[in-house]
Amino acid sequence: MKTAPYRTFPILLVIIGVLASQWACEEAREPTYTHTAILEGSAYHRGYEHGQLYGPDIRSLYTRLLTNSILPFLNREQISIAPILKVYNGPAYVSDEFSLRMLLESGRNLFDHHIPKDIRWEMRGIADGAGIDLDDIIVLNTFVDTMMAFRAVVIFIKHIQTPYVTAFGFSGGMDGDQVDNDDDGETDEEGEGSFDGLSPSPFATLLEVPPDATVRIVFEDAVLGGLACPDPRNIEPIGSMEVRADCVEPALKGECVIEACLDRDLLTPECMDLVAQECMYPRLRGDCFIPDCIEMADPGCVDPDSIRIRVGDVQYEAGDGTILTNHIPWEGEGLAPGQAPDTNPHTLDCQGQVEVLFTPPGGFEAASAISMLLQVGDLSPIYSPAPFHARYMRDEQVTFTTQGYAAATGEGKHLQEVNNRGMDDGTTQPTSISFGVRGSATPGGNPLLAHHFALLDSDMVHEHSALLVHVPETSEGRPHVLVTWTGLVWGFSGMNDQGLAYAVNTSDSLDSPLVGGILKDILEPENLLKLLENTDLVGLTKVLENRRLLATGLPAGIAGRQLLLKTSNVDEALAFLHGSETTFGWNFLLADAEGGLAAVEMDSATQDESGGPGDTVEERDGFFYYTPDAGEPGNLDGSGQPWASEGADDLRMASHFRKNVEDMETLDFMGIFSPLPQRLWTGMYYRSVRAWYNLGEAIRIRLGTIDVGQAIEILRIPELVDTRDSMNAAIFEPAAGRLHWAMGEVPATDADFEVFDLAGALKEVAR
Amino acid sequence: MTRRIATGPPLFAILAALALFPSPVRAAGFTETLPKGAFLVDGAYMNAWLDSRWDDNGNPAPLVDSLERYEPGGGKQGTITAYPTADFNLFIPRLQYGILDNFSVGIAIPVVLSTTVDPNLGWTGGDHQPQLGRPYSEQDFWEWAEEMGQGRPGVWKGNKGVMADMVMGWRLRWSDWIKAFERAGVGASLSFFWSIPTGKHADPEEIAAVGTTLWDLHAQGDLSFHLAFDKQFDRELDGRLTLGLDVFYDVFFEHERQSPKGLKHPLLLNHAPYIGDTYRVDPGDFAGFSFRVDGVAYKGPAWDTWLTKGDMAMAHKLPPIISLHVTYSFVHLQQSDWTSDYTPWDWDHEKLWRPGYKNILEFGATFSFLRLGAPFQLYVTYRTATLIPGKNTRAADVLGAGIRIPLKFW
Repeated sequence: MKTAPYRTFPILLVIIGVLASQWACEEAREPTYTHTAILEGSAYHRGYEHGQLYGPDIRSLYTRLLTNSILPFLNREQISIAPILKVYNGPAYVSDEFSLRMLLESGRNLFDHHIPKDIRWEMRGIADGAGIDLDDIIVLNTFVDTMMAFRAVVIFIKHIQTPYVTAFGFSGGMDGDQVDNDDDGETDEEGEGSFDGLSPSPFATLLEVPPDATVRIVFEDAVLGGLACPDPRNIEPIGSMEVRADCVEPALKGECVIEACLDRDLLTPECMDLVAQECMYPRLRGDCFIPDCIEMADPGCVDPDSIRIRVGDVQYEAGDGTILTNHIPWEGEGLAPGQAPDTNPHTLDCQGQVEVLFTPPGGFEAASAISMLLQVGDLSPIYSPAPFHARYMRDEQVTFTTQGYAAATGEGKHLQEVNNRGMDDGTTQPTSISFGVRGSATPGGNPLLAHHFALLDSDMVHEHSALLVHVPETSEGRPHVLVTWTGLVWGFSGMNDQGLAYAVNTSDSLDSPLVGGILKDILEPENLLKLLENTDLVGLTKVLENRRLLATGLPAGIAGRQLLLKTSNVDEALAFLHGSETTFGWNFLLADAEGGLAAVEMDSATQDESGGPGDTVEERDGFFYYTPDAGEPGNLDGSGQPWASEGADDLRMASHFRKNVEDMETLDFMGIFSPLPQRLWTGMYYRSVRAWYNLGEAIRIRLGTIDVGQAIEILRIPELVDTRDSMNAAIFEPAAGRLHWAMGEVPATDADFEVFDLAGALKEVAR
Repeated sequence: MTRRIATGPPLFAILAALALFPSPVRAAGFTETLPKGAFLVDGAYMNAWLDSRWDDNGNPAPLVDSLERYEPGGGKQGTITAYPTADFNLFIPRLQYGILDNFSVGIAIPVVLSTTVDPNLGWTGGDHQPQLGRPYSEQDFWEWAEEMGQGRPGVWKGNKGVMADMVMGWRLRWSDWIKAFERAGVGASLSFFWSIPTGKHADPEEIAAVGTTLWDLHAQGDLSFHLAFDKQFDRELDGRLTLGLDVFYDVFFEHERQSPKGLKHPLLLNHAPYIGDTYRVDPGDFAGFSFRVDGVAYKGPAWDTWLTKGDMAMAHKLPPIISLHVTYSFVHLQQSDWTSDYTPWDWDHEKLWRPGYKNILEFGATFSFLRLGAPFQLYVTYRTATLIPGKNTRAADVLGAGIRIPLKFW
């Protein structure tokens, strides 16, 4: 019987195979990153249930977004803030604690003094339900407002240290071309075609420029000495660049150097006396430096080699033959007024202005709208915040038309007719957008509010997306739905049972309580006297020695939440916002079931001299609104065009102000330190302007047909999708009590739009 | 009854697989046992290297996924690419004993001599950063990360002289009791192995560290069941060819592991706050089969030495001087299951360990000097999981060399 063993093999294999398959585990599947829940009852109870449901998700969001990302990121900025606000040099703000403590102090201030009681109880409920410290929940729910304002301050401080444009214009005889090129009502006046500096705008800068014109730009860099706390490493040789140049060794005063290091040529941070490190490593107290050397930390030298000019999708660089640079040295007594302070020796060869003459090969395309991007850095690179880099000017964007454009297109006779849209070249992402349509813009007349929010995903926030329905006790307000994230008591969009829907976008502004507090201190009469006695940064730091960065007002998301709880239509919502103080710059878009549509541009109104909100909804500093109704003068800009509508029944917003363009008035007496309106400093500005124009175009070609499907199509247009920091997208149908939401992916619009029937869900709850 | 004297690595040849990742591959003679009362002392050095895995589509891929990094609110900084390489050195002493001619027991005490893991990080730039005037370079990014408290992970060296899990086991060649098998020239055995948890888990705070448990080594299960058959062509080919088949099922126990708290890598490995202080891993089981061909390359002379007490007949039965083998193994891998407080974190790990399989080839040569009167054998093996594509598995190569000394005291 030779065959028996061979027959055994397959039988055994089958047996083992069957056993193996029985024991095999199921393949893991990717979990869903969106959460939906209906929370009922008192504020505390809803919060508790929220916390119980999503405790690990909330901890994940806090740890990965804050602990691992935002907090260390903001800690890096301590050295930008602490030189001016000395309180942040204190031991309580040792480097690892700075951002958390700052956010918590600000959050506590909001929690204790500005956030409504019911919302506070809900936050307590979340903390208890999730087993998370209440302070963590406070920070999680308020950090956006504080961070945005803080970030604006930091960006502004950096902005004033970068090169800037002092002159911009074209050669080519625009003062004799019989055209009002600058649209100022005068033709061929002397100097037409040239400007002192640049004035960022959503429109063109010049019209009908000769195609063979040469662009002339003059850059300058402020001499700030690296503000009050220079980085000693910038006095050392950096690569092949001898930054030390004429600085006499040692750069530091002896009392700031520990004795063992006094005879060294190159000083390391360890050599610094503790007192000298008041600005924290690696920066040193300004008065430790030999005065000549302070200037070396930021000598005010534009780097001519860093100049880049992009026209269309072609980038030109210094040295490629299209960009010619001339160094215009400062010449002592011959200095133009305001070009540089006179307290520094200005001994470096590189100091002065850099004139740039740019002519693209073959000239500019005739009869075209030309978009140009300018980039330049300085010669005082910094180590911190890392990485090592020169101080770069914000990429400035200029649009102009060339001769024949008006004739060829019938447009372009006025600057407002030509958009400063820039290029969709993929180098920057669009910002958040929102739009509302109703009546004639839609096939059935039903209103829609669409929103795509993009700000900060960090490759993880989308995993915590949530659609939360709140059914509060009657005394607490109306039932509503929030498009939000786990752990938060607010969202950037939502809708209530009456169909009132809102969407809110950030809009960078220095008109925030953080800057407002600083200005308040500066403008105190006794402090002004101090400043007059000490006109440098030392004087400023004395005036601000007790100032902390505390947000005040109603956080934007919580304001949105209050709209849902307390109001039923756009008029009521406008009244509520008008009566509110807010924390920063925010753009609210409102829609209701009756077709009400309104846009509100808010900031913190720190320069408001009107006495604050009145009984009626009137525009005031920090509160501007408009609707699609062209019959109302307030809804039209200076040229008689609607602020943000393509037709009679649409309205849109992005992340810049259209109407509140002077959100922060400049204060001339503060010179270079004067706060500025958003268009002059924020990197979001041009991105937002481009997104806003692209959105307008998308709406215009669909007017009359915009239903939910079309709205989704618009939200998915690639030029409108931030593929990096997209966070959620939603389309609300206020009249139907329905919404369509997409989240849990990046970009959110890549996800399927799910339908949620709020009205139906609330009926179910009522049963 | 077929009596086999170790022509190849018998019972605990399986432990050669401990050199890492490859499956429990049999060596020659899947059904080999030691003669009653005989010992076999075996010491093997193994070097294993690993630089890729087979992904869910059966394509070669780096061991870990690239990591996209974003500036908070500032777009994509870039992508950290990683092409880690791992190198393991092990010494595996083994001792086997024949209780009966067809029943042997043994123990292996593997020791990891050293492990080196080089994360081999690279960088692909991301978005233009206006504030820098350029996209982040690799140096830019790590300067940035350093300031955030996260240093660049470097080469990890560890596990110096650290024990892996010990393995004990037995093999019963039950075919000896069935005449039909003997007549057919077929041997059949059952084997069972179990581990003793003497290995250690990887340091949870290290990004590139690896542990020394059986799961870390991905070699065989905590429990391992084998049913094997050998067909020896004694009459037809003078015993110069042996074919073997082994089917096996390996069970892994669920493990509890400590969660990283970000003590060394605060940005990359700070998971405990949301996944919990510990998490559990159920590795899933292995099942598969091996097919093996053993051939005699050079039988060589047989001398009447002290080993055989001058018995030439016995000398001729001793193993050939040079024998070669090739083994093919197919190992099915079940889904590994992570369980923590946070499901998406579990998925991040599970997606790399979805159900899959590995195809392993082993080539070996044994040099036996028993016929010449020298009481030892030398062997070398090369095992690779990189030649034939697999799925959801790491593709390791292992080179080994060892010595066996049979002993009999009574």
